[in-house]
Amino acid sequence: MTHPTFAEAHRAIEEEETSCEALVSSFLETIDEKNDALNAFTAVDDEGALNHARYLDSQRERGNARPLSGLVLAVKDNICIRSFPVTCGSKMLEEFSSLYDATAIQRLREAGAVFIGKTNCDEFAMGSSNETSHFGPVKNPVAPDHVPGGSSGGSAAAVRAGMCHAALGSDTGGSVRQPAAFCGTVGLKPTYGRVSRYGLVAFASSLDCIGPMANSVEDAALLLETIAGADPNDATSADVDVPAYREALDGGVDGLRVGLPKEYFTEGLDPDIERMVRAQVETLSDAGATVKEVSLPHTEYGIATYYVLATAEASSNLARYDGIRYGFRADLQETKDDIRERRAELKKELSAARSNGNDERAADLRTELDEQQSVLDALYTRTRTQGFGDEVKRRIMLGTYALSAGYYDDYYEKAQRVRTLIRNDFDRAFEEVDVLVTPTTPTPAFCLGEKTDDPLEMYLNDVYTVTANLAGVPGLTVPIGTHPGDPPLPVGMQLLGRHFDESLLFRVGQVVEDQVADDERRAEPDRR
Amino acid sequence: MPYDAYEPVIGLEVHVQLDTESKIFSPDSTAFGADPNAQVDPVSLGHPGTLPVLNGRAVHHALRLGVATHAKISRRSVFARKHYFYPDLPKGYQISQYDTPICYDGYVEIEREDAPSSPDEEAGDDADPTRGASLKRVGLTRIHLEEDAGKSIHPEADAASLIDYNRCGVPLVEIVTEPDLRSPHEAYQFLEKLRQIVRYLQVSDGNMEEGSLRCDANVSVRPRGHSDFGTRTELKNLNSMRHVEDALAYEITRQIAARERGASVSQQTLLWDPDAGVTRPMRTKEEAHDYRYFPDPDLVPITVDEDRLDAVRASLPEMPDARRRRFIEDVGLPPYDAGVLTEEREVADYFEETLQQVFKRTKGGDTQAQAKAVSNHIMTDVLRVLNEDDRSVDDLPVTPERLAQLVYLRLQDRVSSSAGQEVFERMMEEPEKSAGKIADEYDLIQVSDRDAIESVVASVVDENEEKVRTYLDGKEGLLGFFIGQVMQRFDGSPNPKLVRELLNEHLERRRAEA
Repeated sequence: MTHPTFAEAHRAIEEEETSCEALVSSFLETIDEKNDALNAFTAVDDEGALNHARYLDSQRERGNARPLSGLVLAVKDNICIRSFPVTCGSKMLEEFSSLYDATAIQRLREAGAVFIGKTNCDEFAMGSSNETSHFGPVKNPVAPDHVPGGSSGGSAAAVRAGMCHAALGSDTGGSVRQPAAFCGTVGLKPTYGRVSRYGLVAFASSLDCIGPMANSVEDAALLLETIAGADPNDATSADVDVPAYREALDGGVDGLRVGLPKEYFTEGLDPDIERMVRAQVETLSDAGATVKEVSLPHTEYGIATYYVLATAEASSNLARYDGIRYGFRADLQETKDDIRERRAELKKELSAARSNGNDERAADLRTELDEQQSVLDALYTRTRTQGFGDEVKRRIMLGTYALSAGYYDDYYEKAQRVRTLIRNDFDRAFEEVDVLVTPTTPTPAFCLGEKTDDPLEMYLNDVYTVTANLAGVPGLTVPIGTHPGDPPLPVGMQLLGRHFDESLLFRVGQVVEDQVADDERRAEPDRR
Repeated sequence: MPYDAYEPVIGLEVHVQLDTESKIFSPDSTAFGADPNAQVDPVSLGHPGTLPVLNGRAVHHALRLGVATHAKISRRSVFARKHYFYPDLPKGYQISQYDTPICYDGYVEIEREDAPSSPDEEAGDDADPTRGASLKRVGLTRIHLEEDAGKSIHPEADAASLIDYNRCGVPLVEIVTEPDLRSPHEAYQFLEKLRQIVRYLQVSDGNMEEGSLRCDANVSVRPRGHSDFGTRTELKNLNSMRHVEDALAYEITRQIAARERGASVSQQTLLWDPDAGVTRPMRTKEEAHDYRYFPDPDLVPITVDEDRLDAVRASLPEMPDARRRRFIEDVGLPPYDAGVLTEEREVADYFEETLQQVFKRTKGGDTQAQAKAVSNHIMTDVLRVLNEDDRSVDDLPVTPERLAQLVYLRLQDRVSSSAGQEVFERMMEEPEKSAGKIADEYDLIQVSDRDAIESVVASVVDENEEKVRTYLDGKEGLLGFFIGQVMQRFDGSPNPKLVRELLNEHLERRRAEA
């Protein structure tokens, strides 16, 4: 398996060894060859991508090369590209196309990137295995009977399988980092507010982030550099300067203070993953970093807090999918017929109950008749029942409950307070250290179908990633090699930093990437 | 029926559309009267991935309204999502404000109908001294910002409903009053006052017919002297000030009748049917809505610091009550004139501009009389024309400068009062001509040439010996006859005051000679 990077492609284009068109053609071939098996893409824009590539080549010949000319990107199917479908992995939006470019897309487009297609994902980004997609699960390119992780599973698989240089995903509780770790790619969840959310279909607005997924730290840095920055279309985007992230890559780790949060190395963590992470930390220490254990005491409340807040916001954000203006709508005639039939049935039963003198039953039936839904309400119910999958419905119900009168204080309000405590944990930790190192996931990729029957087990997979979203801090996952189990699966290590300090994460990530490459080179002769 | 044994208690919820170029959370236009669904972008339509961005202008308007109604301003207020499903609500929630309205605890003053019934209704110490204790304060519980929904249309002949999303996202303030109103007329007065305020501030055109000011009313009755509230009903579909007054009157009578019968009033929402003149229960089920409010994570809190508040205060125009007071105390107008002239900001502006133009010409003298002269012309000529043609003073062809020319002619006695009215009419037709030119062209200048008038007067007196004798014998009513003779014989329009003066002079001279 080749792991194409844009950095390499850029060099090749500069030296006229290749062209944008050739790159796109080659990726299209790979997609053609692998996508049936992997199901990573929900839409591939062959013609559009080729045309765009040819245009970029012709511009280049005229001396108008764009900075990202030759970058071929896959985009998670919950990010809007004008006139592309944006299904969000849902039947609800199966036929829906966007009218506009997300801000991140617009910035990439201006920089010369080519969008080759939209990638499969968990429905409305709700899932950790890509199995909740209406369009079927994505397979892990490393081991096809394993999940690629989620929700940005299609993006991770596409990057890993060489179907594009890099991809955009979205991360609400780990949806970039976990699949990146499962597939063996680099993945970044930026600081909340670093990248505009305009055009990212909302799951949980206070947690959602668009993030890059790539085959190298350098490519991820380049992507962030392009998409980051304040946006007048997103009131929550931050007006904080965007540094030249790539220039920070070679800074090394000498003198850096690295923290190991003890709560991330406890029960439930795969021992091999722990060993591999600790080995990397050892190497960082050898490279001049000081390492110390720190504590993030409220970590254990992360999952509960996350699932209250994320589902509450989701229940609100997904209210717009009602079948009235766009997207899936249940059959109106069927809806009307059903109401009519049920009404006739109730009336028949009512008169029977009355003639039998069963007053109690008659009263119940009368009430049911009186409370029968209007056609409009029935259409809403039917549309949302048929248009959403089980996991989405589960979360809408959970979130609706958390926001209900009488429960709001106990759930939403309390979760907000815990969120503050978790943020404070990080603030305190970052007084002692510059970067935190943790495993990205407690286990490597699991088997397809392994956790689909147990939502709670599935949610626990996000235990190391949700806290960064709750605190708003950036998190970068970098591949650190292969798990010794069978099959040999990728393992990722997570680096967490201060708000808006992505530079430091890239710097440390580059050191780790180089270490891992060295390890692999050393290991290779043995295999021969 | 012992109607007087009961006291109505009324509170209003008023929605005012704020006058902004674009919507509260998107760049769409808010202009009234566009084709249906012509002013809808993906944000207004709640398309996937779109985000609201707050229009600063809407906040500024809300703050101005708050300051003008003596309200407290929240230093930090947040937007909340209010959830319910309806086809004209694209996101499945309305962005509104819940526990932190941008303004709260304000009041508006209206004319008091009766003597205060309890001490807590007494006007405050800073009550308008030109009105004494006749003012009543109506408390404003809160003023909050929110977005409007679309408009559903249910054509009767059609099974399908239509929705126009142009109105979606138009900025609104919701103003909730305390239950301080005690009669339908007070409710009417309150709305009139509120409309005057929003128009003065130019935050809204306050037009109820176009829906830029909408009102729901909560009303209950209680035996006079009791302090507990009765069960209230909510009245909707009140599409004009008159409807508000009529619906409340009907509903109060209905509630009293029910209580007199021994029946109870049930808490419900009623629709006013203006054609039948009755309120009817709304047909939709009265569900106890759980709106599941929570802070909108897409928006940041509105923060208002002292600097911003100072800027808002500085941006306020002189409000109607203060202006009225100034017109009485400083300009010297009678209270009635001051009230009429300050009803609309544009008319008051017109008055003041005209007065300045008059002052430029008179350069001193009796300014109070000059003001009264301007006031007379506006109250008679200008307002009559505006009412007849239903237009605004801004569209009047006669500019303040032109009107000032006319007033000046009158002050100099160069045109008579009736000629003045004619000059005004002509200026409406020929706005490019000055008042003096029109008076000249149409021969409306009155002659004040003493010698010319005196020669005619002398000849009239000479030629009517008999009548003069009768006059001098005590039949002074004959003066009118002499005046008529002079006017008839005179070539042009003699100044009637001068004619009278000279006649008197000549007649008295005869008396002395006799």
